[in-house]
Amino acid sequence: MKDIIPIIQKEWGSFVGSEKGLFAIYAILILVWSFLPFNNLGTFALSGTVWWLFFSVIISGNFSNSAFVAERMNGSMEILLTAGFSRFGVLVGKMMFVIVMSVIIGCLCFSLSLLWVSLLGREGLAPGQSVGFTFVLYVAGTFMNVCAGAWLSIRLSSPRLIPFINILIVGIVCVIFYSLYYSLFISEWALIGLLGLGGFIFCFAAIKDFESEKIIAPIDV
Amino acid sequence: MADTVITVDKLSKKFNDNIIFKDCSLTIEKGVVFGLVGLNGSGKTTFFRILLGLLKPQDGRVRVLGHDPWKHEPSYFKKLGVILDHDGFAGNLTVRDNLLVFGKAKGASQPDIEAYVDRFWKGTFLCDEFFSPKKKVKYFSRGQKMQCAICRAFLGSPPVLFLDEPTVALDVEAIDHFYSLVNHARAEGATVLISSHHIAAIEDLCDLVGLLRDKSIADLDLQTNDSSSQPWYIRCDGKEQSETVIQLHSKTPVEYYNNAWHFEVVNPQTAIPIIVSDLVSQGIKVLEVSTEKDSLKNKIRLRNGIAEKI
Repeated sequence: MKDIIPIIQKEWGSFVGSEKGLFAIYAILILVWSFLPFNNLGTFALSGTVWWLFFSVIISGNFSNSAFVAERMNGSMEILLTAGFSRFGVLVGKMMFVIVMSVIIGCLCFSLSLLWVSLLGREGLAPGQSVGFTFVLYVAGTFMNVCAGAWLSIRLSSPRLIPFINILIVGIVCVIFYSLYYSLFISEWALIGLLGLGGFIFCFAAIKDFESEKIIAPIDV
Repeated sequence: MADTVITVDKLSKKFNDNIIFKDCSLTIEKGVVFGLVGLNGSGKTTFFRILLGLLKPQDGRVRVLGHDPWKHEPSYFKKLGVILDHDGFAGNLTVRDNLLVFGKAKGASQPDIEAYVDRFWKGTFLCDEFFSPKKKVKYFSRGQKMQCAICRAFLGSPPVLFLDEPTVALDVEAIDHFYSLVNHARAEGATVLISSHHIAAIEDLCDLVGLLRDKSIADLDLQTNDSSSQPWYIRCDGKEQSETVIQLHSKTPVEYYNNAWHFEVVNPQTAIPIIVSDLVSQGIKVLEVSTEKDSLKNKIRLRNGIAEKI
């Protein structure tokens, strides 16, 4: 834990010290995305809620980019790994930062979405799905995307592909879920289970690869 | 018997089919400043990365302060000061915030770091930026970033320092300051490994120098009073004729550049007069005979079998 806190502080400092334009982009994104659940027609299971999964891809992908990819691209990961922090501490610290920031931004967007629902009187969430379910789904999606992003940042020689592959992974998980949902009539909560399972698999893969030479392998800039 | 700090025994490393090291061995003792030189691509940075546990040896044994670097023990890294290709700082943070983060990794408290900066960096831009930060690190010049990296490396008086190209982009004052830090570390008993193409810095600072060549490290003797092997040069007429005569007495293949033959001789007190005598007896006019002024640079040239390549 003593290694994780300085890493989170470093990441937080880097985020807060970003150019002001970045915060404006986040604000616009949150505002725009908060209207998307209104597009839910209620005729397709989870259709409105699934928007939140792809929101987590965008947000966590952006934070993962600065926490993992940028450090590898400019070579500063080597310094961090030889500074005296444990490798596990560096990885977990960065992942925790990305997850917490993604969840905070998700909560802002989610709250705004609920505000529109109450103000405009329209049902924004899909039938049968509670606010709690949607929030847990978003957190599970964020967890999987962050873990996958961490692992992909080590594995891929072209890190610019990470957001695309993250979308692909979420898409595959959704396809698997819908297949099982319509064929075996499984619970909607199974989607959260699938995302969590995927997250743990990517997390273990990231921990393993973080200990290998791959962490400093050359990557395409 | 002196304490051995770095032991590399029969190290082998390759990337796919490209062999970087084969049966490479090296021992460095406590308090020694060791210079590592070699041509571009000879493996200097790879060697550092193996000692830092960033790359795993294919074969052989590597120990630094008794630690196996590949085990990635934080207790090992806490004893190191490191400079690598990149400054490694978070560009959006000030140098103060960066040093506080890296200080925590070393177990140094904020007062410890402030005392260190105040003691060793007073009068520099870094001291001003540390105590009253005005700029984020990303706005620093390359030389300023390197000074920050040097500051971080020496933070906490680590017993071992790995410094890869530490003088890149430094101005004259900063180089002098770097020299003083290395000399202070040596006096405190630290072991320092410096890799650089800045030969003057290697000559000025290092007790021992190793040349990375042919997948291994060869000792380059810096002791100019050692009569067993010294670089010399002879300027004379008759280039082809003189080559044969000089080569007879040279320890290494002779090289011709700057209008002179460059070579190494064993026991020059007797060898040089014989060479000159042989040249004169063959009617060759000898214009100048001298030891190399820039001896390390020429030793590297001669050992590499190259001229004008460093």
